[in-house]
Amino acid sequence: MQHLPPDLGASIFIVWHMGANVRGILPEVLNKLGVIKAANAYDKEPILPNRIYVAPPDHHLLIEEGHVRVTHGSKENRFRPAIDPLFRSAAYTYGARVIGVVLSGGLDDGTAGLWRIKSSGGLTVVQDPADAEVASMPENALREVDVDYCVPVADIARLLTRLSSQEISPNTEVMKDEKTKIEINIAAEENALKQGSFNIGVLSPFTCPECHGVLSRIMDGDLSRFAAIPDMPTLQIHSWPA
Amino acid sequence: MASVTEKIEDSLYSAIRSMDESILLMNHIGDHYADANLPKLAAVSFKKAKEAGERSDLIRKAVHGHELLSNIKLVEDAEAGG
Repeated sequence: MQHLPPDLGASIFIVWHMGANVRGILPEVLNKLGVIKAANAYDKEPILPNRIYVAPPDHHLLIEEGHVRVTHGSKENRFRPAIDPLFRSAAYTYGARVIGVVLSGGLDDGTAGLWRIKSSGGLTVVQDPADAEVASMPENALREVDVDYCVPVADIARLLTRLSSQEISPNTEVMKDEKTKIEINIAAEENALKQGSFNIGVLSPFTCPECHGVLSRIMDGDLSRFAAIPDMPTLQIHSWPA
Repeated sequence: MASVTEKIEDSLYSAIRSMDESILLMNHIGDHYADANLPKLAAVSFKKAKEAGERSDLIRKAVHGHELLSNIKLVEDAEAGG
């Protein structure tokens, strides 16, 4: 972070897996290190360039047109905040303008979201698993997504600076699919049953070992994930097996 | 405190799940009665489904407003002026 220029010209959104009961001190740490102002995001906060928005503890961070949402929707991938809802909503709103970065971490949060960014023309970056303290999140993303850049963490600031200054085609259409919209709305506290959550996957014979809801299989290209979708009868969306 | 508040969230989601099941079931039964040309029974079933939906909306509001608490969180909120 300390190597990012103050005039980066982009906004940065961070989800960090943490327990609901911790203090959200990441912005304080980032502000000591870097030159771009970081803060825990608040709901409906406008999106400005050269700012770092951090998901506060126990809340999802989502992107909508021109502002962020900070919500208390159900957990995803066993976490709140989770990375997939952030990536999914960013890709749905800003398409090819999005760069998704997956860093060190356990299990597979971030993989489905990175796939969604890639499929709508955005760029994907993954920390080199050999460089990561916990390699499984980068490894899972690399296995399932045709990732654009795989670099050690020390090189990411330079890479982001270069990528954020690249021109993108003004004609790129943003993919607005119904499935992604439903999943974003559920994370944004909408009633999943009324959202038509039944329609985004195929009911499976499995139940979620965590919440005991019926699991549906959702396909993202060749990537299949199981979600105890919705309020359908289950509110919690999480990938399984994780 | 953390365990208790986490348990509350799980219980509220469990209640919503059961209520959603009852909505689906009542609508299913309503369709069945309508197909069998029993309109009064169908109407009652659909009405019960709608009422359950209104109750589940209340619980949804409760779970979205529910905070997972801990002593750290209390101290933090106190420092922030409540």
